[in-house]
Amino acid sequence: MKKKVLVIGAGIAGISAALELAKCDFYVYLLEKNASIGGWVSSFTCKAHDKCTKCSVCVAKRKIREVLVHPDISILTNSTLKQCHGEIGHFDVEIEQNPMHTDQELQEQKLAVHAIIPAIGFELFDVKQYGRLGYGRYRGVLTGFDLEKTMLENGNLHFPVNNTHAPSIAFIQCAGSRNDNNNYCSRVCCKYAMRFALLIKHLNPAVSVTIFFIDIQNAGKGFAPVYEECVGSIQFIRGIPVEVIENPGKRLEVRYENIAQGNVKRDVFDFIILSAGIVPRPGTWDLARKLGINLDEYGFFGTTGTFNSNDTNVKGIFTAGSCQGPKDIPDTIAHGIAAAERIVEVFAK
Amino acid sequence: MALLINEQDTKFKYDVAREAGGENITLCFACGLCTASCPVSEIDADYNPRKIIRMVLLGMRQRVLSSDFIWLCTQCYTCQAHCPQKVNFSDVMKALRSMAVREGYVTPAFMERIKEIDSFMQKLRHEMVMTIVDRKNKETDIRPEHIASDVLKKRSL
Repeated sequence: MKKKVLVIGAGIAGISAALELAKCDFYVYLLEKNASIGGWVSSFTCKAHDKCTKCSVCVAKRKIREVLVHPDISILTNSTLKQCHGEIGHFDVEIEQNPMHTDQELQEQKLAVHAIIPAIGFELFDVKQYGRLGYGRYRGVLTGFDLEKTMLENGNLHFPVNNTHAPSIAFIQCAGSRNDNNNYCSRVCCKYAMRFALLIKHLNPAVSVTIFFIDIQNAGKGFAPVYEECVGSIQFIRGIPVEVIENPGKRLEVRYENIAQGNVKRDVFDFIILSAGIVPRPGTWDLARKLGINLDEYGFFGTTGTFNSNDTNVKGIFTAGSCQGPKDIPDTIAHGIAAAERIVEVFAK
Repeated sequence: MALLINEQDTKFKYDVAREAGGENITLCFACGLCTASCPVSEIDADYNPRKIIRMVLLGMRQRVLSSDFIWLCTQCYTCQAHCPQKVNFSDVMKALRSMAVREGYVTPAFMERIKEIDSFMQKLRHEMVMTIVDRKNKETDIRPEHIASDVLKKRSL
């Protein structure tokens, strides 16, 4: 009989882990809180301009299609974990399934699994906490995720047509990362801001694109050339705007210190994109309590060692993806596969 | 601004960090929010909180403690509200001021005079606002300078 694994969260980390486990002859229950699987990535858009910028969204979406038809993966949508007891090799878990229709009742089922992978992902920092940046007050102020959705639905941003000034857009980095509450880098924002900057410039050559940054974190294989590509056409300004206000012409005025020049300046834009940071999902604490695993200092799932980012303090429970810390898509896929491989390794002994 | 290596005091930042209010000085990653939000930088382009922090971190003890900059801060705490790293720059300013007094760069009487100016400015602002409240429906185009001179003449502040 096949060994069974419960994967909590059908985002890209959970899906990668599930596919890898199924490939290695395990049976997987893939638990998803929402009605549809895919998580954040299903709202993301391809960011290729005239060539691919390797954002990996297509890779993730291919995996979603793959998991849907896999015979050894049972997908439980609208479901959450209610209780969990046991130890490695025989965990007894209780699953609560919310009804799809109003005439159905709440269903509960018990499963016996050998191992558990919590892969519940992240939440975006609520940039409304930064009232000064005007998110929710001005229509032109969007988060990076809003831009992903808009670009996926419409294929482009609609810049206002005006003869008096050229259309412009600015990205403000570190909105909610590297502050006193979330004192870490979210790792994805610089990269998607630069990819979007290139894409928007490609689609609308007349638009001037500015990126306000503290320092560009272009980590990742082959990302340095993308920055080099941006330098020619995108304006990089070191210095974070303190305030966004709407001027009488309904455009967005920002005040910032241009650190390279050492003076305070004002600029006007049509759109402001806030690179909202990655924070732990609100349910992280609750799930950690049910599973008995530790959280780290920032509220993500904690792991046992600096060089081991999958093993938790409970044997048989392995974290995957950005519930352990901020990750981009390739890293999330790799981390999901790593968690699956740890299970394969543990049960091969 | 030239930086002379032999004039540097590498312990300066630790001295500031030991001073009450200066504890978080070394956390600064120079995002520029303090300068962008500062009302003094708005009217005096040479006044730059971010640069003052850099000068402290680089160990320019004499240059910082003898500078005019540390007395220009209005202690409005705007920078402190915006700082993502809780550097608490208004408190750092207080620390630098008390160090400047203690190390003999200015006299205690000088510091008292600065405090008097600050409180005088608050009185003046209060009187100016009250003046304009009094005549808000009569003259709407009155200039701040005129209100100020009126207030100074009438109320003999």
